[in-house]
Amino acid sequence: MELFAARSATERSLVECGPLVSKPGACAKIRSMISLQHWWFGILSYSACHLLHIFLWRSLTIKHDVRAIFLCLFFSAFVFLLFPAFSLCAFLVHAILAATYIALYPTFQASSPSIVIMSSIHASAAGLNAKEILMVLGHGNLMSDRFRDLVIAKLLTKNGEHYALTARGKRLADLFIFYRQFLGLPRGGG
Amino acid sequence: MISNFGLFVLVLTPLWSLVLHAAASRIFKSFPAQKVAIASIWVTVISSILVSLIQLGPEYRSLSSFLFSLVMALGGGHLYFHFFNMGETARRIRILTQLRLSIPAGEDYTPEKILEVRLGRLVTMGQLEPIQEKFKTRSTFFLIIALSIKKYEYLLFPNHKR
Repeated sequence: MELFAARSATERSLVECGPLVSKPGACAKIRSMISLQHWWFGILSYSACHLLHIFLWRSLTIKHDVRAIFLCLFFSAFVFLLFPAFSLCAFLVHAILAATYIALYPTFQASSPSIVIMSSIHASAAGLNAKEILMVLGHGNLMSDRFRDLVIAKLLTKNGEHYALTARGKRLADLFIFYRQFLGLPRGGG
Repeated sequence: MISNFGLFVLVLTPLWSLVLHAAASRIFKSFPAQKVAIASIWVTVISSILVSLIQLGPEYRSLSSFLFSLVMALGGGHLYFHFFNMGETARRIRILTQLRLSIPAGEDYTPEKILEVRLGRLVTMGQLEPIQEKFKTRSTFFLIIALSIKKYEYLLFPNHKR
């Protein structure tokens, strides 16, 4: 009777968990695991969305680019979930790649001054002094363009010459103020 | 195969980075903030990969599970680094926090000041070398990244004013 019970347990685990499991009791471990089959589909789906993003950005003028980039790269992962071969792990890979690119996107969009400094100094064989770097950076729009971006993103409103934070702007500012305090660092930015 | 616990650890890599970074930035206050952040993130990324693979057990470990762990942990660490960097260097975040703290935004932050802050940071991080009055780049990994970003920027925004 005991032998029969043990055998049926083994058969059950083989039926439920497939031929990979040869030991009875290993099924509990299998159940707490997720298949990695086709996880790399996430890289393919993200790459397709990224190519679409480059094509759209080169050919169109996109005003609300942050919203558009979320739609094009991040939320598109949910569409791929409709395909049976697109597993949870593929979805997570697509999502993490999209999130890391979206975090990096402002560097391209706003021409990071550090990147401009590094590339302009590198291009000059003799090196550059502070005055020459400042000429490359351009005096006028280092801050004014960023104010304009914030107004477009509805984080600021402009009344005449004065700027005021919107509710969303306040929340974002509070998040970063709290974050810097949590790290024990002085107010940063810039 | 990846265990539920391993996946949980990998997905939350940015959170573990935050916790370790908060502790490290209080302990290593005299070190440059970005160096402390990068070191904390590397420790977290390597730990997340190791935990997910050790937890998996030798019978299920494979190249596929290693690569998946690598992509997820590196992606999570990279994501956290950019969040930190936004608070550290982004002009837009500076404008928002200054307005929130009722500090006149932008007025004290002239192009000369922007340049001074960045040159100081790049020299501290070992990316630039001051030689007499001039600055020269050093052959670092960041230089390769900076040049690649510049090239990609041309690709994405061919009409950007330079």
